[in-house]
Amino acid sequence: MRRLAPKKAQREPTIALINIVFLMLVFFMVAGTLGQPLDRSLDLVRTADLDGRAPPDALVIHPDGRLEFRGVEQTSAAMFYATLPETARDTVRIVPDRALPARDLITLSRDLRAAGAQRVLVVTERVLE
Amino acid sequence: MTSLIDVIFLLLLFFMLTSTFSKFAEIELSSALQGTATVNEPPLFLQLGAETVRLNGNALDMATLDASPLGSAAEGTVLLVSLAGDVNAQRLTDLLVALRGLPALRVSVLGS
Repeated sequence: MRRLAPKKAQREPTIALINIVFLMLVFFMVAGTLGQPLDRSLDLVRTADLDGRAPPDALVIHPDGRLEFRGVEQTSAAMFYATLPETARDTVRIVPDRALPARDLITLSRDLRAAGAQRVLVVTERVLE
Repeated sequence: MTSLIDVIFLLLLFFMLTSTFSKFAEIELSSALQGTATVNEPPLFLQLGAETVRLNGNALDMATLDASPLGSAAEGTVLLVSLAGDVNAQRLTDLLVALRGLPALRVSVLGS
C-alpha cells in the first residue's frame, strides 16, 4: 500500500480538467451567439435604445463606399439585389460603417428601393449608455 | 476518457471562435414617401448638420425634439430632412432614433 501512494499523487486530475472545460463550453454556448463574421476594420453605427436582433448577414458598406456581401465585393446595389433569393427581397438590411457619408447611405438606399426593395433597414451595434 | 476530453475540447474551441458577443439592432431608413399624401398640414423642413439641427430655420437641440414644433405636429405631417455634406451615417442614425419617438411624423430624407 505504501508503494502505491506516491504513484497516485502523480496522476493527472482528469475529472477536474473535464469539469473546467465543460463549464467553459457551457458558458460560450449560452452567452455567445453564432453569426457571420464581419470585417474587423468595420466600425458600426452605435445606438442605445433600440430592440436587439440576430447578428446581421447583410450588405456591408465601407467608409469609402465599397460594398461587400459575405466577403465578396459587390459592384453596385442593383447587382447585389439581383443575387438575393426571392424570399429575402422585401426587406433589405445594410450594415454601414459609422463614418460613411450620410448622403452615400441615402443614395444607396434609393438604389435598393428603385431595384424593388420594400424596406431598407440599417443594422447598428447596440451599446450601453 | 481521453477521447471524451478531445471532443469537448473541440466543441469548446468551435464555440469560442465562432460566437460573437456584440449585440445588434436595426432601424428603418426611410428614403421615399410611402402612401398617398392626403395631409393638409404644410411639411416641416429639418436641416441636419454635423453639429447643428435646424427646423424651418430655427436651431434645435436633438435631445429635446419633443418640446419643439415637431412634438406637436399633426398626425401624418411630412418631415423633410436635408443633409449637410459633412454628416455621416452615425449622425443620421442618431436623428432617426430620436425621431422614432415621434410617430406622428412621416420622415423623408432627401438625397443629394
